[in-house]
Amino acid sequence: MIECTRLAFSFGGRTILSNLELTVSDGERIVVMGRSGAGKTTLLRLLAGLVAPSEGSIRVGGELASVARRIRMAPSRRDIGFVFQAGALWPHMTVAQNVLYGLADLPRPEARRRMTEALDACKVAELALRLPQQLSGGEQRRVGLARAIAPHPRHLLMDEPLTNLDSDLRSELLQLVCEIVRSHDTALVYVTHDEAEARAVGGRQMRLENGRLVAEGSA
Amino acid sequence: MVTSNRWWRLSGTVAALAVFGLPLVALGMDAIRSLMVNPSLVHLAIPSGRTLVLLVRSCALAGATAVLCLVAGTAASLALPPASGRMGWLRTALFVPMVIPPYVHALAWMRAAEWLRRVVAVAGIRLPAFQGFGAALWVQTMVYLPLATGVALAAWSMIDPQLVDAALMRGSQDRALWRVVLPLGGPVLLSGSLLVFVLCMGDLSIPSLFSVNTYALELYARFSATGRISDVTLLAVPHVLVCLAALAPAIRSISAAVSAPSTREGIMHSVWRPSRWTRGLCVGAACLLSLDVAGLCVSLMSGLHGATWVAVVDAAPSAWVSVRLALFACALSMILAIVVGPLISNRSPLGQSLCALILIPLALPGPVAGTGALLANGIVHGAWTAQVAPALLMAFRFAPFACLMTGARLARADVDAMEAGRVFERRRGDWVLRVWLPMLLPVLTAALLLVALLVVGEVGGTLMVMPPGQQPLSITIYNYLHYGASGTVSALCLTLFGAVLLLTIPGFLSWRRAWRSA
Repeated sequence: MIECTRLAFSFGGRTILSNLELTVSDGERIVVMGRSGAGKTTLLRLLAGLVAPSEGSIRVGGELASVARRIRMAPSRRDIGFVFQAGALWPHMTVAQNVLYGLADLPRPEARRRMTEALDACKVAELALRLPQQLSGGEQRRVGLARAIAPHPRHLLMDEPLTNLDSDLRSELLQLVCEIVRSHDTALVYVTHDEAEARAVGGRQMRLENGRLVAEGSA
Repeated sequence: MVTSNRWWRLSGTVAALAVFGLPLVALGMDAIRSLMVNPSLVHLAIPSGRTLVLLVRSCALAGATAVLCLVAGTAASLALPPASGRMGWLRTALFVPMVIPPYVHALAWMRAAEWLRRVVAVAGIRLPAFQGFGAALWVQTMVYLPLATGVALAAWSMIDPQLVDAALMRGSQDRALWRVVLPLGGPVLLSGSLLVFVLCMGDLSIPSLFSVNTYALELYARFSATGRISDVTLLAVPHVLVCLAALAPAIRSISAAVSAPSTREGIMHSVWRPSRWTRGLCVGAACLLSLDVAGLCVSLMSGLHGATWVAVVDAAPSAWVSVRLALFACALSMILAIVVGPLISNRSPLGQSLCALILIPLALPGPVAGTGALLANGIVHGAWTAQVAPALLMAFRFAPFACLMTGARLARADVDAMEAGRVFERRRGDWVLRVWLPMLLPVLTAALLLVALLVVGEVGGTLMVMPPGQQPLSITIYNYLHYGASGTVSALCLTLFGAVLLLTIPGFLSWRRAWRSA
């Protein structure tokens, strides 16, 4: 479970999030919508521990993870998978190495099994030895997803993962995401600005407005 | 990012202050002490009379070189074959002169001019002696033309080919060149020529060989004549201000261009090509670039017949000193680039202050930097031993390039890919060792290559700090040049060239490998 209490974030004198309250229960799906610059990506980065909040706190699994201006729990200890908007694959590593990176704490045979399982689930097993720049946009997104789910994280954060993909590929990947989340009982925080995509993901629909989260339709 | 780690911030700041700040503080303190004893010395910092003439002459020589390099380098870059094509090796070969120090170019051109004089004398034509401002301008242009061409190629690689293709939908090839290609590449091209300007301002070897009295030469002569460091520091103030004014706008876009994470050839991937007339000019400029390579090879090889081979064998220890110095300086520069580069990549007050600090050594002429190192050694009670001082001086002078290039690369890096390393890290240190450093590897290798090249050819500062019996090859050659032992100089130049290739080829190959995988 992730709990945000009175969360605020300011940057360069501009308040991006203020007094935000959010609880993500185990296995829950939350879709966060909002216009560009509303702070959707910042919210995910705060949850992941990539930035410290200006005020408030974040608890992950009951443990205090971030407090004002301080990260107490490193991103890698939060049991979180992150799918970045543009893939964020490491260009000097093959697809397999990208996925294996997050499995370094497992014995090698188990890590390889998990990698194969994740690549299979995302239908990119045959690309394991390729470098990211040898992949198409859709393939890169699939690998990004495989990397995030391979360690079986308790929480999955997805930052507009389907932007700039054609509609067929979007619906195919969306279905894949929903299946994976359901099969691993993973909590999902899905950021998008596309309402159709939000409906397809389902779960709790929220909107970021003036730095706060409000339930969709209640604003 | 690593800059959020306070230990990183602290170690980066301390390293920058120790290596870049200490010699500057030493120079400043020495100058202030002298001014307090004799306030009239302040007139040295204000150019007037002879010093004003020298400053204007230096600016004119460096400015003319920069303009010629800008025009010829831009044109030559458009005529070069693509790196990935069958003639790609030719393109690499044309950049070989970059690894040869300026005074070796000077020697080659002096010899070529002498040969030409003899040839035309047969026909009864008397050519003027290859000396003075014009000769120095020609040789400096030839020295920095490969650099200007390289910067132009980097500028083209940064342009989105679709922008040029879009221009072609609505206009001719020439219109696309003038209205789109040149304006888009303009900032990097201009920055490249400003960098050439600064390098020319600081070079004293070519002006001294062609009897052109310049400001950098005056600084060295003043120190040799009086031995008063404070005089030289005060006299260097106008020079430093001129160079800083040129460097400040140039350095960011140059660093961004050379650290662009791309193997694409930018506009070369678009359908745009220069029109027939423009292409003629470009091919002419590329021929000029080739002329320098051919001139160097022929001149050095033909000069070998008068070589004193005993002197060449005797120079082996000097070659080893050069290689060792370059390796030490590269190791120091790498450490500085890793700890200081991330700090200057962000626009915090600390980052901007460090950026301003490391620009100053680049604007200092070699002899002044050398005296700064001597004074800094005095501050730390000789802790910089005779062995360490030269390497620290080289780091002081050239590590700023490595720091700036690393900083620029980090500022343009895929932040998500870097941060993904932290999210998925399972073993402590994996993120830095397996993601952060490998992503920096191409730019680090390129920066260290540059540092190695500059160190091996450096003369001005090395003259001040090298301990007796520890003469690097550059100084040996420089001394022989002034004694007129041209055959031996040719042989030593080829030895130096060999040493440089020995140092740079492994680096170049690993850089290309790392670049391709990035």
